[in-house]
Amino acid sequence: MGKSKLARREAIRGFLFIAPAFIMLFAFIMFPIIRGFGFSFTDYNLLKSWDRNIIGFVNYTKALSDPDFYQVLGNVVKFAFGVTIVSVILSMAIALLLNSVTKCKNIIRSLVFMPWVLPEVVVGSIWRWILNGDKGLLNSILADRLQIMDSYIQWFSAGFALLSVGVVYVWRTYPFVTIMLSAGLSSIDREIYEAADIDGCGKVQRFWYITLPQLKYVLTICSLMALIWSMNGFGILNILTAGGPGLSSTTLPILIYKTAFQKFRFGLAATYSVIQFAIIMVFSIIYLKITKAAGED
Amino acid sequence: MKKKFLSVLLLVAMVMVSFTGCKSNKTPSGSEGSTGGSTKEAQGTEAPAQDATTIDVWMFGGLSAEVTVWKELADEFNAAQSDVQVNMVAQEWASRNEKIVTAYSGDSSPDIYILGPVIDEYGKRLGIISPIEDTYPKLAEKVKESILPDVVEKVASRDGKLWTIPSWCDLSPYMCYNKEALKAIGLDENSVPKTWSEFKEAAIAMTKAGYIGYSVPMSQSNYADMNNEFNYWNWQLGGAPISDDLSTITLTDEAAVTTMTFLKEMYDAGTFSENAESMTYMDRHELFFGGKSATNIGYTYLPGIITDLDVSEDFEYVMANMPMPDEGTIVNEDKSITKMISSNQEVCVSSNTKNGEAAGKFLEWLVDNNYWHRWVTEVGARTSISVASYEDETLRADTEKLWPDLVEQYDEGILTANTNTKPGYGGITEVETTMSQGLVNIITGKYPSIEEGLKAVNDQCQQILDEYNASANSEE
Amino acid sequence: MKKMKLILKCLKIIALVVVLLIAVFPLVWMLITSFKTTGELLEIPVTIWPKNFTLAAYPEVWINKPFMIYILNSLKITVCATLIGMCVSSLAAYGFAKCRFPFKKPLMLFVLVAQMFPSSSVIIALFDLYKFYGLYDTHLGLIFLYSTISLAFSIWMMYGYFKGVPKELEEAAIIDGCGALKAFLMVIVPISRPGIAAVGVYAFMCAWNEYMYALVLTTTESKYVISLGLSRFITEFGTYWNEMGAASIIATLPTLLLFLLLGKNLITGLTAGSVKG
Repeated sequence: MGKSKLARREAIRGFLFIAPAFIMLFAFIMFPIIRGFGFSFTDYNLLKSWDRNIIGFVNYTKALSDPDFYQVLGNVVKFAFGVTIVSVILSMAIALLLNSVTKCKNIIRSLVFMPWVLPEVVVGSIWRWILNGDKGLLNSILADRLQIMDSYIQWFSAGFALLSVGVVYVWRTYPFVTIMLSAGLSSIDREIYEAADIDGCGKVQRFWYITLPQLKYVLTICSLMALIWSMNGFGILNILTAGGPGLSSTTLPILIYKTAFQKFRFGLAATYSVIQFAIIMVFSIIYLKITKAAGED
Repeated sequence: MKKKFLSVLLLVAMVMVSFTGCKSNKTPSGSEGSTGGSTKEAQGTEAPAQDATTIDVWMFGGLSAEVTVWKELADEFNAAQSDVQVNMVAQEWASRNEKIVTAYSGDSSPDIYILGPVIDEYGKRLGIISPIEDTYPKLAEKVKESILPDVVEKVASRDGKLWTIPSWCDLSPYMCYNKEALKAIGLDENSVPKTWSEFKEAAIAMTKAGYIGYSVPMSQSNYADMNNEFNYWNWQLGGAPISDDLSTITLTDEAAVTTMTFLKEMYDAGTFSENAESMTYMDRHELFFGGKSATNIGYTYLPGIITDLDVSEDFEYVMANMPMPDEGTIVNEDKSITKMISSNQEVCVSSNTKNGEAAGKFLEWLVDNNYWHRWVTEVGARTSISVASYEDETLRADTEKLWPDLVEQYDEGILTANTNTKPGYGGITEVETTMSQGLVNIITGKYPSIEEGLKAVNDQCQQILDEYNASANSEE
Repeated sequence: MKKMKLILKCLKIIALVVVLLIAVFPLVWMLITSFKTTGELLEIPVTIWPKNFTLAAYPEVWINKPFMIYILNSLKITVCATLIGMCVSSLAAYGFAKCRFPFKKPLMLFVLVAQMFPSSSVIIALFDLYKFYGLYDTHLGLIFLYSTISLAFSIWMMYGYFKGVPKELEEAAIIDGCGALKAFLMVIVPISRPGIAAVGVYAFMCAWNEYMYALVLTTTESKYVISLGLSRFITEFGTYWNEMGAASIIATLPTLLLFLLLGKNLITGLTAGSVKG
């Protein structure tokens, strides 16, 4: 009798604690999204706003049978996974490096964090300028001053565009992951390392069997976040290439944006949103299940 | 325990409520003499209001001198009377679409917009603006008398009804050449290319001399660029991508093929920038003023840009007429157009404004005070469309000082001759973007032949146009 | 052996320097560019050092364009959003970490889900909803929105921290007669201060840099934030890099200040807190 009452009290308490967060999440994100999802079953088009019909899954069949859509999906996979994997590996390396430095730790850490300090607008414009094929700084330095290359590389041509955008996003993503990993690294018990040293562990073994497992939670969360951020990446991408040339650097958010604000097909845009959400959701569940991050109860 | 928790909750709630004080923010904005917020009255009644009605005016883009002029106009109007207060907001050009569309669908549009072109897309398709003639018939008459008739007909009206009040017009395009580049191939300002073939030769020669001979800005982040360039050339031949009744796309005719062949040959010969697919017209301006691009297409706004970007006085360029088609290539003499007439600052009224009368007062004041002439006296760029700027003695003196050749053309009656409106593509952006991307694909060689490419693009655009026309008809 | 160690140390330093250079480079480039004249920006190839060093861009940005207002707006909105975000997310994370209640796992997943939407998806439906809430073109509206977008990550991060707090401390507090909330405030929070600080930095950065929502949800110029103000330098005809550079530097100062002040606490704090899964 007493036990269930206690359990109930605890449950209520738990709900009260999470209530404010959920109210906000619902009001400001979930509710608009759900409304938006509703649009995906209509042919809501701002240019024909008098003519809004429920058309069921027509939008979905249209989207899934469009070969361009698969090119975009391919871009998303390449871009998101590329950026995440490179960011995480790079951040891990830099974090290890940072932790082995003894002097000026704080200043260096602050400097590493710099890419996050500039707003998207500036980051996008500046990198677009630096990587510009005709008058960019990078080309100028490489070709004119250091004379490493013969002619300018077109960083935003169809072949390179996704790569260039990826590099900028890695630049933008790695600071946070680095700081998080660096913090995680410093919090690992020295004693474990000492014990391993006594047992005769080499550096690589130490890293693989001790460091990584200790960092599991942080690593999992950070890489998942990095993946979601890069899948959702829009602002900087839009300024850099707006998805061009052609579809070579178009990802789902750019597609959604163009469908909604250039073509005014809100229904179709909502459809793409649903599909993107489904992709991220499925992947997150699989990822979390594999790493058992949420199951630590 | 519960009590304590509740008390903390209450505290948090109080803190949050206190933040509602953040709602009203009365920090001084850019224009003095106008209130920061908008206190919209219930209806525009006959009796003079106790408090002034504030109207919001959004102006998009423009040269920096123009932003100043608009703020001045707002200030002067506010000072001249006390019934209406104008809140002039200078908005960004690049994101105008998002701003307007979301404001409209959220029912928080301003009262007056200043941007262009507006009629086809925002007016007829989206219904965001309503015609001036419908709401202010007397004002419309006044406007028609005050500005150049061609501007009234081609820019500001559709089917004889006045929709907007343009503030000036651009007569475009002109071909600009870098003087050094001309010298490098043995030409000067008196011997610029006069025909398409001459131009192609010159472009190729200038490319060999190390410049970008001629490049179309093909970036799709500003999709209108490709379409505009195509039209500048295609029009001279008498071609037109979309029919006047907005029902048919014609990209497969002889004119289009000639134009695309011309452009593709230059692309294949390497006169385009290697970065052309990511280049916007702004990039081309910067390349031109930086001395890397030998050619640029300019409008009458060019002097304004030169001031704004602080181009060095050492930079010398020639602004000449566009090269004309070679002998015998003109397809349709009657429809041959050499210049486009357009305005990016058309004053128009929102269709869901609640301050119609107040807005009307501002518009009347602008017209009565011949506001158009400020572009002669203060901005020094664009082309004045006020009849008085050319006919009235004192004003004419101003105009002559600035643009003697334009005044001459006016006297001869050819200032706005052979011009046509900027194509609206029926106000359907998707048609524009599809056409733009399609043309880029043809030039960059994605299709086996130009004819095949044009046919494909034609069909795609036609399909979209049909879809929209079908539902537009179903509405009626 | 000693030589190897020295070479390794040198390599490490070089690698670190390269990393820092790349991280900081655009900011430094903006700084250098802000000292150039507008005319010089047109030069091709791009000049590296200013030919005519000038500070003219700074008064232009500060006095002629209402940048002070933008910075104040940004500061107000960001600080409020961060505080609210930290409070709400720590409460929620605590609930997840310490209380038992049904549906906990799905709810946690739900929190993650909320993070999965790009701004272009949310913005369409959010817009007229905001009109309905009466939050359109208000700072309050932005504050709430910004605190919400950083919630997901904050909650998950703090969850890790709170889980690592030893149970004994909590139990000690309860024995002393504290309620759950008091235990939370008096015991858990002080220990997890570094985690909260880290989450605070993240929330601050998200809010400070945000552009899309601010663009669509604010209309009055006097309410603009920095990211909007900065985009004003990209005009219809070209970009005023020097002014944008000056404005960026000015806009970066508060965040740099934040780091200088909090930096030591934040970073040593991050290491002190146990980040165990």
